[in-house]
Amino acid sequence: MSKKMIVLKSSEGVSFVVEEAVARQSKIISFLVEEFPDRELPLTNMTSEILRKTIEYCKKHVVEDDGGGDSSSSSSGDLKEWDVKFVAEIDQPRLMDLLMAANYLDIPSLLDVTCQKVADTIAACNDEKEIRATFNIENDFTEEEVEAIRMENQYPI
Amino acid sequence: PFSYYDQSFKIICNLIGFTDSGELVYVPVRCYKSFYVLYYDPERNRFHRVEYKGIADDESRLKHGLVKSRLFNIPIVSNHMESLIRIQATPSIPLDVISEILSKLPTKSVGRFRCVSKLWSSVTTDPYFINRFETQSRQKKKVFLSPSKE
Repeated sequence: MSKKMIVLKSSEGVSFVVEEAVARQSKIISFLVEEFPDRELPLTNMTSEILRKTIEYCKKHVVEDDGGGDSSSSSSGDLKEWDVKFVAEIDQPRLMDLLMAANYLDIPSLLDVTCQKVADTIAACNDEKEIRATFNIENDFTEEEVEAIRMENQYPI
Repeated sequence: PFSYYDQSFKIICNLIGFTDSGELVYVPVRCYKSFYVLYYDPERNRFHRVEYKGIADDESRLKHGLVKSRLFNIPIVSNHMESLIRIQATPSIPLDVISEILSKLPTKSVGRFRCVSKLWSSVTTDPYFINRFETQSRQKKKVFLSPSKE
């Protein structure tokens, strides 16, 4: 069986040629290649860097999925380890972009690992101030409101 | 308040309805070639002013034979209004993704992330979230998840 290739185009207009099986891990791309075969798929909300990362993830996972046959626990364990390393190497803003890409392209496993990494980052923060600073969130509470929430949730200061 | 007087433009705006997100929408009594619509977000006590420029003015309408007479008023229907809150929320992280992330957190930090912002607080007090969160952390110890009501 010859491998069918498809072309994905990033927001900068850079084309990425990807095996169809790799790209099909995205439910959106899977749908698009059926609707528009032999067409370049423009992903205008994704930078080349993020698209490259997403493809890297998909490549790794497609190899493991059909290469392993019956997926033994060790190989799925290796893949988990690879995932952890994969997200650990990405800095905060890019991780959010990758998460958004996984959400947009509908790649459940990538969304799951990126969400987990963000959750770990939040959990590592000492207080809500650090969380706001890390994720650039505006504090729209008054001091009294924060106090009330603390009381409700038995949250020690 | 059913009407609002805009200080900077010296126009009276009438309350014409509200959007799905709960904003109150004020529209000037008379709309001309360009006009403003005010969105009032009661939760944040903030007004947003949006200028509409897309309507051709009387002169160009007459010139192009679009209408026979001058246009005095544009009928406004509230359910054709887009919600500003919704528009602003689109480029940022969708609520279900925030919910997904927060549901992966350890239960002991629930109070901490409820203090982060109103958005996070509303996500984490949502019954669907609490349900999912409790399912995921069933093995863990007692948690204070339901906000106590006076």
